[in-house]
Amino acid sequence: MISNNSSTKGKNNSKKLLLHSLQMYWWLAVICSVVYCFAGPVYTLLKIDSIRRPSNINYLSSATEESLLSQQLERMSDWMNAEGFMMLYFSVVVLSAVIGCVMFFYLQQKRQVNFYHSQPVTRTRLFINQYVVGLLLNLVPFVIMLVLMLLLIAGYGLGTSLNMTAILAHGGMMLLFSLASYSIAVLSGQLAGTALTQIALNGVLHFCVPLAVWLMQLLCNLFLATYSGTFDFVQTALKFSPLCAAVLYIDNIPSVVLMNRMTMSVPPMDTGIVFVQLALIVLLTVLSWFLYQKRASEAAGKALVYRVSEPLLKAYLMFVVSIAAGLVFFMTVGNKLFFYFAVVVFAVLTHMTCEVIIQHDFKAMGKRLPQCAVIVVLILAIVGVLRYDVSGYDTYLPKPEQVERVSLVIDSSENSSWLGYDIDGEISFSHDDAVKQQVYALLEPIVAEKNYRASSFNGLIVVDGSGNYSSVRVYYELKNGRKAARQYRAVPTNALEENYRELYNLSVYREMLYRNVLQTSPETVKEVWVNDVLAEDAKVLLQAYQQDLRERNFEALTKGEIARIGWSSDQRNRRWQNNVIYESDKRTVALLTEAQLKAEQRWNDYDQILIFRCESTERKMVDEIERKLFSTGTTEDADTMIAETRTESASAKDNGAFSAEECVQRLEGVAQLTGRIEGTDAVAAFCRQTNLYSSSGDFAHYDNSHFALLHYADAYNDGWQMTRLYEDTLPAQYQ
Amino acid sequence: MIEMKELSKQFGDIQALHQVSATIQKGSIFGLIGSNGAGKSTLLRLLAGIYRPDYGEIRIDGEPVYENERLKQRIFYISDDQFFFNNSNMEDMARYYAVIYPRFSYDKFHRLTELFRLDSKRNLNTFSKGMQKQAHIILALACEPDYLFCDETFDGLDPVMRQAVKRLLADAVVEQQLTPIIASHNLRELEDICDHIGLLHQGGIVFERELDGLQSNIQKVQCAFSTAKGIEDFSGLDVVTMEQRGNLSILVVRGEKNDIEAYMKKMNPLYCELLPLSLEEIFITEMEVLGYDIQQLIY
Repeated sequence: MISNNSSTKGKNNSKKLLLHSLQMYWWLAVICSVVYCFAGPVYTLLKIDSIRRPSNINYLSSATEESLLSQQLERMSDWMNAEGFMMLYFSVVVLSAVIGCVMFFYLQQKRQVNFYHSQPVTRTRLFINQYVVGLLLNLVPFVIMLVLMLLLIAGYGLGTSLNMTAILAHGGMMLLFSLASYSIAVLSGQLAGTALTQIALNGVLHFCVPLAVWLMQLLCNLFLATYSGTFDFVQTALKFSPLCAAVLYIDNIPSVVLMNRMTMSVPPMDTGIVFVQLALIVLLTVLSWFLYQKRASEAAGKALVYRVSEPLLKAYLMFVVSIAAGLVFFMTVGNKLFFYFAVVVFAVLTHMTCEVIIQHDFKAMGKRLPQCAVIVVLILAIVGVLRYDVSGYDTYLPKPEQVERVSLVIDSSENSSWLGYDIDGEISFSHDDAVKQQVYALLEPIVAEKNYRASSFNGLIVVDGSGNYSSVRVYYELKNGRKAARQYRAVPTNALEENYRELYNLSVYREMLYRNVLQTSPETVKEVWVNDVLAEDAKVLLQAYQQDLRERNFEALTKGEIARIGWSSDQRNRRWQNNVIYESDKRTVALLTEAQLKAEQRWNDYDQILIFRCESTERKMVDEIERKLFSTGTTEDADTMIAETRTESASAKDNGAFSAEECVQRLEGVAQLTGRIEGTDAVAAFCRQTNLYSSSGDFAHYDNSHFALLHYADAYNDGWQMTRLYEDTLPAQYQ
Repeated sequence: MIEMKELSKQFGDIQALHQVSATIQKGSIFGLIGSNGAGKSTLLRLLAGIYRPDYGEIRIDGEPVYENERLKQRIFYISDDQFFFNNSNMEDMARYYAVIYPRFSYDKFHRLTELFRLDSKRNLNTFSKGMQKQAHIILALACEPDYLFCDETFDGLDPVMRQAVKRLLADAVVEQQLTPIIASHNLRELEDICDHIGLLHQGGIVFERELDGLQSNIQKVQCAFSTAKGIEDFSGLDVVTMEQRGNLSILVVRGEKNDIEAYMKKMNPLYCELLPLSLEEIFITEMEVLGYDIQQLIY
C-alpha cells in the first residue's frame, strides 16, 4: 500500500515538476510560436494571395470559374509538394537544435548545477523532465501552426489540394528531423562544460559526419587518378546531419511523378533517411542520459567534461581544418608544397586554438605539443596513404573469376549520357563471362602501363599529340559482395580501340550498354522525336531502333551519327534525346527516309564549303590546324587563327567576314583547295553524303589528309567553321 | 545520524578532502570550521549529494545520499552562492519547493516571511545579498527538512537577523529534531549556537568533538613569576603555545582544568589565572600548530 502511494505520489510530483518547468520556460514556446507562425501560416498566406490574385495568365487561360479554380488548385498542390513545407522543415530543425541547448544550459553554470543537483530529484527524472519540456515547448507550437496553415488553405477554398496522407508524411518527417536535431543538441550539453563549447560542439556534431566524408571524398578525388565518385558517400553522410538530411529530402520531393496534379502527392519514403534519424534519436538520447548520470557536478565551467573527448574532438577539428586549408591552398596556388604547408600550419593553429578554449588561457597555446605532433603525423599519414596510393586503389583490377557482374562504358564513345544505365537510372550490369573476360583484357594493359591521366595532384593531362582521349568507367560487383568503381580518364583512344571492338561486338555487351533503350516497351511510348522533329509512327520507329541496336557492330562507331532519337513514355515523363542513329542502323534509317523526316536540318546553316588537302599527311598536321582553329570553337577564333598564317592581320571591323579567296591565300603552304561547293542545297547534299559536321564518338575514324571549311549562311554569324571529314567518305573529285 | 567514512574528493590535481571520517549525531548543531580551502564547501556538497565521493562513503540514517531522492527530501542545502530562477519571487520559489519537497509548509513559509518582514512578491534579484540569504533560510525551514546544510549562511546577515536565525534553528532542533551543519568563518556566531565543532584543514579533519568538551580540554593560563620562565619549565604540561611578555607568561595548555591548576600551584607563581578559550582562539591555536598562522603568512 505504502509503495503504491509513494509511486503515485512520485508520478504526481513528476507531473507537477513538468508543469512547473513548462511555466518557467513559457517564453520558449512564445518564440517557437512566432517562428512557426511565419514559417507556416504567414508564408502560406503570402502564397495563397499570390495564387488567388487575378493575373493575365489566369485571365487568359481560364474561361470559367471552374477552370480558374482548378488552375489555383494545381498551383497550390505544386507549391505544397515542393516549397510549401520548406520553411517549416528548416525552422523546426534549427529551433530543435537551439532548444536542446537551452534546456541543458544549466549544466554549464556552477550555481545552477549545485542548485539542481542538491534537489530531491534524481538525475534520471531531471533529465527526462528537461528533455520532455524541451520537446513539448517546441512541438506543440509547431503542430498548432501546421494545423493553422492547413486550415488557412481550406478556408480559402483550396482544401482539395491537400492530401492527408501526404501531410502526415511530411509531418512525420519533420518530427523525425526535429527529434534527431534535438538529440544532437542534448548530447552536446552533456559533453560540454561551458555555454561556448556547448554551442560550438552542437554545430560540430550536426555536421561532423558529412563534412569529414566530403573532405575525404575531395582528397580521394585529388590523389587517386581512377577515383570515380560513383559511390557518393557524401549523400549517405548527409543523412547523419538532420539539417542536411532535411534539405536532401526536400530536394528529392519535386522529382515525384505527379498523378493528380490538383492534389498534393505523397512524398517518397526514403528509408535510409528515416532509419538514420531514428538511430540518431535512440542512440544519442540513450547516450545523453548515460553521460548525464556519469557527469560530475564539478565539471561545470570546464570546456569539455570528459577528458577522453578532448583528443578525439581536437583530432577531428585538426583534420577537417587542415585538409580544407590544404585543398584551398592547392586549388588557389596549384603548388603541392603549399598543400603540405597549409595542412601542417593549420593543424597546429587548430590545436593551439583548441587548447586556448579548453584551458581558458591564451598561454595554453603552447601546451601539449607532443599530442599536436602525433595528430599532425596521423593526418599526414592519411594524406600519404592516398597520395602514394598505398592501398593500391589505382592499380586494382579484379580478375574475371572474382567478378559477379560488371559494367563498362566509354563515356564519349557515343555522346549519350544514358549509356550503361537501365530504365530506372540504375547502373546496368552484365553477368556474362565473355564480357568479364573482355573487360579485363581491355583494362589490363591500361592499368599495367598507367596509360591514363595522373591524379589532379600529380600532374596535368597526359597529352602526346597523337589524337583523341577517352574516359572509361567501370563498375564491379564482386562475388564476395563488395563493389568497386573506377574511372580511367584521358586514355588514348587508339590504346582502347582493338579491345573495345571485341567487347562491343559481343551482343550481350550491347544488351548491357543500351539497356535503358532496350527495356523501353514500345507499348508505353507516347511520342518519338528525331532531331526535335516529331515522328508519326512512334512504336514502329522505336522497335526498329531497338532491333538495330541489337545488331549494331563496332564499325558504326567509326562514322559520325546522322541523327538523334528520343521519346517520352508512361514510365518516364521526360524525353530522352541522346540516342544516336548511325548510317548502319538500316531499319531506322529506312523508316526515317520513308517518312521524309528532315533530320539534317542543321546542315542548312551553311551556304558554302571549301575542301582542302593538307600538304602533309601526318595526322599531326590536321591536328595542328584543328587545334589552332578550334581552341574555343567560335567562328571569330577560327578567323583569328587563320589570320595568324598570313602576314596581315584581319581588321576588327571585318568580324572575320573574309572571302573564300582569302581563306585559300591564308592557308597557302599549309593546305591546298581541292573543292568548292556553293548554295545551301548543294552544301546540304554534300554534308548528307559525307556525314559532314555530325557529332561523333571517340572511335570515329577521320580523314587525316583533308578537312573542310564551312561558311555560315546567317548574316549575324558570318564566318568560317573548320570541320574534319570522316575516313573514306570524300568523293574522288575532291581528293 | 550522519556517518562519513574515509571520505576523499579530488578535483584534478587538487585533493579537496582526504580520508575524512566523522559522525554527526541527529539533533546536534554542528559547526564546520576551517581555513580557506580546507574543504568545507566540498564536504557540504558531498553531504547534500551534489558531488559523488571519489573514495569512502557517506550515510545519512544508514542510507547513501547520492541520487537518493527519498533521503534528499529530508535534506536542504543552502549554498554560499545562491541561485534563484530568473525574475522569480519568493512565492515562485515556494511553489517550486512545494513540488519537490513533500513536507513543504505554506503556513510556515508565510509566517516566517512575515517575521522577517520580506515581500514575498518582490523580485528576488532586487533583494540585497543579506535579504536573499534570509529568503533562502525561510524557504529551507518551510521545507521542514531533517538535515540543513548551510554554507556561510550567517555571513551577510545583520546582527539582529543573525540572532533571529539562531533562535529559529534552535527551535527547529527542539521541535523537529533538525540537524543543521553550519560552515562559517564567523566563529563567534558558531560558538553561540553550535554544540559540536569540526575543524578541517587542507582536506583533512583535525578534530571533531563537542564544543564543551573542546573548551574544557584546553585552557589559557596567564601567570607571572619572579623570574622569567621558558617552555621547558612547564614540561609537565601539554603546552600548545607559549607567549612571554616580560615576566608574564601566557600559555595555552591542553588538559583538564583541575590538573593544570594543581600543577601551577606547585610552581608558586606570583599570579596565575586560568581562562577558557573562545572558539576563535582555539581555532587560531590549532592552526598555529599546523603551521597555518599569521607569522607564516607574513614572513
